[in-house]
Amino acid sequence: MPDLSDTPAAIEALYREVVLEHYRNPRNRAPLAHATAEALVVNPVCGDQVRVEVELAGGRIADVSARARGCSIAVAAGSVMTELVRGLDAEQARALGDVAGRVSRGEATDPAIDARLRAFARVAALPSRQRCATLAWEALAEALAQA
Amino acid sequence: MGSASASEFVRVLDSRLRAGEPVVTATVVRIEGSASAKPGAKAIIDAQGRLVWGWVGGGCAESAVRDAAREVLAERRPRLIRLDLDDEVLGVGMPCGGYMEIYLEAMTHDPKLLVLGHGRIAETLGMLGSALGFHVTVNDALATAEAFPSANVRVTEDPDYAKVECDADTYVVIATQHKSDYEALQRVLRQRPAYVGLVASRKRSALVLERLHEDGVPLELLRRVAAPAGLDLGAETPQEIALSITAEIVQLWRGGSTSGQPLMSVKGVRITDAGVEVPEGALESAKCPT
Repeated sequence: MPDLSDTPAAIEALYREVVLEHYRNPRNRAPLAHATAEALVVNPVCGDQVRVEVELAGGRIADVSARARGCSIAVAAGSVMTELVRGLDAEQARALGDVAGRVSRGEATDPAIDARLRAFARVAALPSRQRCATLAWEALAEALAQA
Repeated sequence: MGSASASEFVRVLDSRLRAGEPVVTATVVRIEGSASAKPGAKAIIDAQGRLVWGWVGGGCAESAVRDAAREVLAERRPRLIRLDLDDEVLGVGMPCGGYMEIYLEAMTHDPKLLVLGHGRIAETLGMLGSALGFHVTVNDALATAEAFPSANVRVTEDPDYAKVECDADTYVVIATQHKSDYEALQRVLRQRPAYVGLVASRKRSALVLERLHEDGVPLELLRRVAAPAGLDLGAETPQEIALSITAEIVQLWRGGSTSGQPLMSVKGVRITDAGVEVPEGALESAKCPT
């Protein structure tokens, strides 16, 4: 894992390592057999789309999948999201989504934030790509709202 | 063929084509002597050579028509067959004492064009595909009716290409502007469509093809991909690129054995210092009355 400091070089290294790896090998893409809720969110600007399915058990996310069709950032963000929210309750998951949004807008740089989320700090310099990093989190929030 | 049988002919034909089953129609166009079927008699033969409707003569005439129908369907070119009903040995082995000409024509459902993606190239592909008689499906979140007014089907919610279906009559163009093009190819190639074109630069094409190869996609499948898609027309604008891809699809649809060279060159017409040169005999059948 690269240096966890928030220097531009470190952010760039983290971005390349995490985003590109998750883009090429996205996790948790398979549809869930027992989904409690699902949501599909589309970015009307670029056509990227993410479908998120969640299975809730005892008020917590027992399983989650994200299938993204879009740019590397949208695909990687969906993959990272599925790794981070398992075991969380809806409120915790939404709170983590807020962190993801603030990271991608350059508003959160706390080293305590999971490196997989901080990797998306790189898009803070690319306003047109920020929503790519939050599309899966939006879909998760929408699915949780329906559950 | 009376009106009742005409409507039955149309009904059977329509039903087969709607089911996606190509057939051949056979029509007796000329007889001499004592042929059993009369001019206008029709039959419908399926891809296995089975008579599914009608009658154009029995016995060996029927089996000759069935054999020819299978070939017509494979070649997708109409054919006029001549049956000698007089010579038991060299004809169709059925000495009725006559002669028949039967016109055979393949009837296939519309070829299918599947466009994955949006933007001007995708939009123009949809428009050209419709104009050429393709059944056009566009699969993209931004496949609106405004962008693709002539498309037969628009699929807007399919993040993992789960709704992508193609067969040996489907021509697929991946115009996702590089997004998820690897996943699109993975999904499409397994279904072995007639054509897979990837709209991409040379560099992107190589990257995607190499990754597919590394991930175990057989070379036999990779060879089916046209990447970058299209014929070399010197296209620059999105619309021109779409035209070059459509030209590549038409070339394949019409047999795939053509050169893609200018017709003037292919037909041997030349303008030289001595005048117009044409292949010997070319003008004989084309003289206009003066």
